[in-house]
Amino acid sequence: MDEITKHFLNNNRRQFIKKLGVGLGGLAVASMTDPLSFLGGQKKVAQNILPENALHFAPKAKRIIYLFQSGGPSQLELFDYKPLLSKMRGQDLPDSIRQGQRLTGMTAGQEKFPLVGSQFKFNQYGESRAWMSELMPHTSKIVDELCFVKSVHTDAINHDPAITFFQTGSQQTGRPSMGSWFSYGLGSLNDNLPTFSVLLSRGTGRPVAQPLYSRLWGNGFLSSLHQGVQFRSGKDPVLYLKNPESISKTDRRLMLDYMGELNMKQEAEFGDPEISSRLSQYEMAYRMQTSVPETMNVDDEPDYIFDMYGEDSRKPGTYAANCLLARRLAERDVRFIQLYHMGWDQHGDLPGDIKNQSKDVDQATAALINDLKQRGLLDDTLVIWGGEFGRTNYCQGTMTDTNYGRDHHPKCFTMFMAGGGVKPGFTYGETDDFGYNITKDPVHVHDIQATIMHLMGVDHTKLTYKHQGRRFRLTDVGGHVVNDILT
Amino acid sequence: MKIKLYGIILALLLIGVFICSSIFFNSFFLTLGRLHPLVLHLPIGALVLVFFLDILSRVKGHYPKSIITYALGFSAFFASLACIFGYILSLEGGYLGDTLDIHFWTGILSAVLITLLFLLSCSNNKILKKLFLPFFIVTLGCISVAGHYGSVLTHGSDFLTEHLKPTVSVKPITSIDSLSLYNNVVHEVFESKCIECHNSTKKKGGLSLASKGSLLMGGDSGLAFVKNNAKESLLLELCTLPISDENHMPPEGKPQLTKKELWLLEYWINNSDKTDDRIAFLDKTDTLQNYLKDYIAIDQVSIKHASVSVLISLKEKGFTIRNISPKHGGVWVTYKNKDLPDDGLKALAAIKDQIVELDLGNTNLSDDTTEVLKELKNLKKLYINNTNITDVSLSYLEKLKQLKILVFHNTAITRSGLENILSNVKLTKVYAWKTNIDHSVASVLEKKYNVIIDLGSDNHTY
Repeated sequence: MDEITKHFLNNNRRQFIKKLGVGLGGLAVASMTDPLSFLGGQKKVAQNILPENALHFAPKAKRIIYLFQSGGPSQLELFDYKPLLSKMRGQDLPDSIRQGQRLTGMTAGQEKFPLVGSQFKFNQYGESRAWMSELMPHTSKIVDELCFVKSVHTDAINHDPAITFFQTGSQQTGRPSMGSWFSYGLGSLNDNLPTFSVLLSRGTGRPVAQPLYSRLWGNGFLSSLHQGVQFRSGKDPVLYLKNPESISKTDRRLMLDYMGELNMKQEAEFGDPEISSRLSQYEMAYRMQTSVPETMNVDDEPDYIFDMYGEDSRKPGTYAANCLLARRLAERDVRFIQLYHMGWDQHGDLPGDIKNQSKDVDQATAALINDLKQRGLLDDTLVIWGGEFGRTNYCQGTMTDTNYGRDHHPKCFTMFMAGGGVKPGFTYGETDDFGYNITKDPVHVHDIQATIMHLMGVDHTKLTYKHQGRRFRLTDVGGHVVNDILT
Repeated sequence: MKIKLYGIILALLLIGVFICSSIFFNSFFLTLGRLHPLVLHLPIGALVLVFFLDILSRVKGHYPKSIITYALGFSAFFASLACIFGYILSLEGGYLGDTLDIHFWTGILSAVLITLLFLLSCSNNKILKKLFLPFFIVTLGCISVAGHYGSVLTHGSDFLTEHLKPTVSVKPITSIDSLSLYNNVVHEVFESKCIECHNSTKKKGGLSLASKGSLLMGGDSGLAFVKNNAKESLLLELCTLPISDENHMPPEGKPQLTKKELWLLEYWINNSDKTDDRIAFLDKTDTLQNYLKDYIAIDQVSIKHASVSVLISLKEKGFTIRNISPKHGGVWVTYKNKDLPDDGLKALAAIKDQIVELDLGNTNLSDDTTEVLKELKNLKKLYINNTNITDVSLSYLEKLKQLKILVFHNTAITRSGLENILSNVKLTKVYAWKTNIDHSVASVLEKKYNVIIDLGSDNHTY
């Protein structure tokens, strides 16, 4: 027997057994819940209409805008005010504080670990009296909308594993990204746009920083239907979406119809779920041919909106422009909008670089939150701002009066959230006076993920996918919902 | 001959056991006690079988004497064994009061009666034979009493009748503040996880959690808790031991306390000096508020699910419909295109009870289609921003008592329209950016109606 025939038979036997089991069970369940389903295939349609199969409780947030700050923003220059570091400037980090923490290859060879304080002034703002650095003048004005978590910690010490850990719950690659999990668990809110949309921008703080790669918004072992779709700046926001020249919309439709027929034949024969995924992706792409240009075209935005987001927002591909697009996507009910802003990795020349980098994000972030608010969207949209880890309290490289650098620090860093069910004007967690260890309410990356899922109405322990004999979930085997930051 | 043999075995066994108990009181010996619940069912089964055989053979006329004798011998042997094991089990302690006494004596009486029955069945005396059946009935009665009190010891006194009693309808507590920390929370935890072994009839370790009074008495190892000091409290210490520890409570295999329950127990002990333990009088933390949500009856919104065919027809018209909760049929409806369907919103009437949130923003909605909104009695949140509506549409919302959030930025709504709706419906938030309503009006209305009116960022201050 040749191999193809063998595979064919094998597949059929499996399918038969699988279908027998699922079919009978499904029939029994269906007849209990909806006797009418025997009369026709209505059940499947019903699932398409109300796809939230993983809605475990009433959600506080319907959509998420995740402003990922790639590179590891320095919490010590931005949010976590530690005057002791300035007082002890130049002194070595005490071993009692470091407690044998492993170092990256970049500072492991350093003989001394001289403490260095922020060069930027801190002040308290708003009714909540939250500490903010002068690097974030616009964000400082909206601290009463924000919920700071100053005690986030992670397992990884290098960019790739740390970002992968935040996005997929595992330092190893191959798991689905957070947005893919939501797409899988909760489904789409808008059939004309991808449920998981991704926007990238490069920072001015360190323009040649590490690149990002599409597996960060990959679907892992979930159906490819759930992978993130990257929106680019420029003529083609989504690649290969436009019809080639001289192909009309009708031609495209006809082509898709015929191809759909062929694909359905193929699916009936082989039963590969990827075929039906591909089919619905073609259909989605067809609908996106109109919806994407309309969403990405910001010509209808009035001038004062551009003024609000800052001058950068007129330049496609900048963080500010992406924030504006994020609002437009949120207005159109895209479930998970992921922004990445690169360039926070200030190992050296930190003071100068972080100034530029903060300027990139400060005004636009504040504007996005305000803009969502005035449109009545902030109540059920969760905005998340944060990087993959923090930065060390000691200097990397040479320290001068005006210049220093900081290495990666996984043991504490700050994130903030706004809207969608988190407490406004609230700060959670504390670090020690050295800004090195957490002294109160530690929040692990898995806890952040569990909390985000909770806000979206999903129990992080229940949304699973069986793959290679094991049920996987975003929070792996950990994660506790941080109840104290929920409204 | 048979009787002698049986008597000798039993006597040897009894002697052996009592020698054991007097010489060494070791773990093996106590393990025998744990076999009591296993062994005790054997004599009962055999006895009932013999009764059945006896009656049946009397009717049928053929009497299998030897089988009945053997079976009664079996029953008598295991009944005695059960008595011995039961006695050993009682030595462990924890079973106090009259219940144990009754079980103890009726158990022994049963064993004696079964043995007598066995002897009766061996004899050939005619008078004694007549006594056999009445005697049998008495034995069955006695073993029933013994069995019942045994079950009271294991499962508690109301185990048998639990489902027969009418459920007492207590008015459910709906606000966290009026919960009593002990009565409504801590006691509930004990009730669900501990009271099976720690009640007034079965006091394992001498501890009963049946009431606050008995809890304060503590158990054999001392007080169960130290006021205001959870760290020093035995109760919490035992519950937080690793599950592999033999002193861990509840014992391995029983339903365990959850993280939340442990937290609440700890919180209660740390606040146990308060005279009034209603939540309203305690220091509030967010964790407390969150954990207590499980103990109040949240007013259940029971919205029926809409039928699939209705949902399909609405989807075909271009409405996007999503569940807002897994617990009821409430939905959130949006319309993504600029132009509403030709018949406007009429189709929504089919799910008028289900709509909890409705987003018609950025459409060509105008006052002539909005009358259907009047019927959406469960509507909580309405988006009508960037549309052509005026105050007329707002007046359709007057009777919607559930309405909380209203979003109408960039419309022609005026002060009078807003004030009219505010005076009829208790709104919490209004989004009125880019309307005729200005800051001075908004602040007046905010105060008067206790509502937040968002007028947006003043366009270009950023």
